Amino acid sequence: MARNRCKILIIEDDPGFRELLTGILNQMDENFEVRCGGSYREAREAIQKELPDLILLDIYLPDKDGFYFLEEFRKNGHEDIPVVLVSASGNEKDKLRGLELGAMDFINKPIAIEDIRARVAFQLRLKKITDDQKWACQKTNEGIKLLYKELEKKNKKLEQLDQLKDEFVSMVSHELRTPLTAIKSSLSVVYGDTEGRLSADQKRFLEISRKNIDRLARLINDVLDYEKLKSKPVGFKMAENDLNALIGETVRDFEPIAANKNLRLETEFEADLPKFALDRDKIMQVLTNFLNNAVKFSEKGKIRIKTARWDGDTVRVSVEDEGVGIEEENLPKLFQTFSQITNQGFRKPGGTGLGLAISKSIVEGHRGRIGAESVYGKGSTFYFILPLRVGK
Amino acid sequence: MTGKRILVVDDEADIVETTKAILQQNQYEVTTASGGEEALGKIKQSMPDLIILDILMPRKDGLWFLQKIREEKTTFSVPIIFLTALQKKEEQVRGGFVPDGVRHRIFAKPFEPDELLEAIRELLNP
Repeated sequence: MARNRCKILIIEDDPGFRELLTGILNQMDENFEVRCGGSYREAREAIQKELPDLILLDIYLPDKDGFYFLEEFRKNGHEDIPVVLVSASGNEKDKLRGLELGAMDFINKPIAIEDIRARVAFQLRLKKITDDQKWACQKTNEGIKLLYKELEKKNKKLEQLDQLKDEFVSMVSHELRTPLTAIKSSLSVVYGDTEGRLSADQKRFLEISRKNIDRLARLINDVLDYEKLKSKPVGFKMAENDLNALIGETVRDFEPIAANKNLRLETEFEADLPKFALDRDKIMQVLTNFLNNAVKFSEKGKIRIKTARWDGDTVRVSVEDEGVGIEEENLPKLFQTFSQITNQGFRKPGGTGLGLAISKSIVEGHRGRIGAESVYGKGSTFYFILPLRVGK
Repeated sequence: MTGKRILVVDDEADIVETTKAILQQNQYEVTTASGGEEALGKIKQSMPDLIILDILMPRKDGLWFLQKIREEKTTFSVPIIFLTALQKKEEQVRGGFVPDGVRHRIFAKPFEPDELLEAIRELLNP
């Protein structure tokens, strides 16, 4: 094993004792590399040249004493190199002072060989453990730095991809809308030009074309809306609004559609409702989505639209129908993307399966909550709860 | 309300042609251009009562054209219907690119032909 040799520095002014210590150490392990100094000055020179793994330090030196060296050594940041003091006195005061200054152990003169061996071996073992830990820590840090760099690189790439996706969505949007516009206008021209001259069949098929183009346009808008809300949930135009009035307006737009299916629309408004900050268009979009669903999945009865103060400073808006209802196990799937498509029993043509997912994003963007309750075969209630103070 | 002149500016030939047909069916006089520079030339020949302007076009786009006609006293206050297929550009226009006082509407493609006609009537008869 290509192990590093253990370097031990002896600082001792008595040449005879120096030799003795060197001998003991060399006998312990031939791999020890022992160097010596006889004074404070020589000690400093030695550690400047190379830091040892262990220092045996005599307290009494001719120029400055061992304590002085020790204190300076620790102050210079060499915290993890063990220093063992060698003292002739066995003086308790000296020992205490040495411990305070950072000595790890003591060897008393006259020396016992076994004692020295044991203490040196112990200090070297401790030093090795410390070194190993330091090394492991350093490796870990290097690993973390590497990972961090990798993450940064990946993140940058993701950002680029995100931007690319935005551009792509934007481009696709343009490319899809333009032909739709041309088709829509063309149909309109045919309609306008041949009024009264179209057969019932021709008219019917033109109507089918028109209906499906509108559906396609809705689908594109939904997908883009959803994309936008998902990637950038900001961008709400918050302003103080009268929620009841806004709902009344939306409901009025639905009167003809509901009347078509013999459905009654009823409203019940909370009288004590202050104006509060919301994005008018977006909340209308949620409500329109609820009403659309209620009408689509109802064959009879009434649809009740209600606002009510809820716990704390919140308001609950609900749309309750007497339609087909939703099976309990399907309730949690409602607000997931494309839930209509994955849920065949629930599917009705004309939707994109994104409406409720978009609604959820919008309500959550207002720091609100959205939900649904239903009794299968009896009807459903869709609701959202908004905090009355938002955006402050 | 016949005889009002409308200039349709769009780089998509099909859009220009179908829009023109719808307008002609409704007794409007229509001139067309496929880009900003051509539209500027058409304006010099004959002054429209209203402009239908696609915002996103290659080279000189709708916003460039808008800037140009705002510099001229004679074309300063012609009402404009902006067409856009891009939400971003639409927001740019809504966000104040259209100077105060210009009577305008913004239509996202695909628009409802009836709604376009309605907007034209409103803009021409304030």
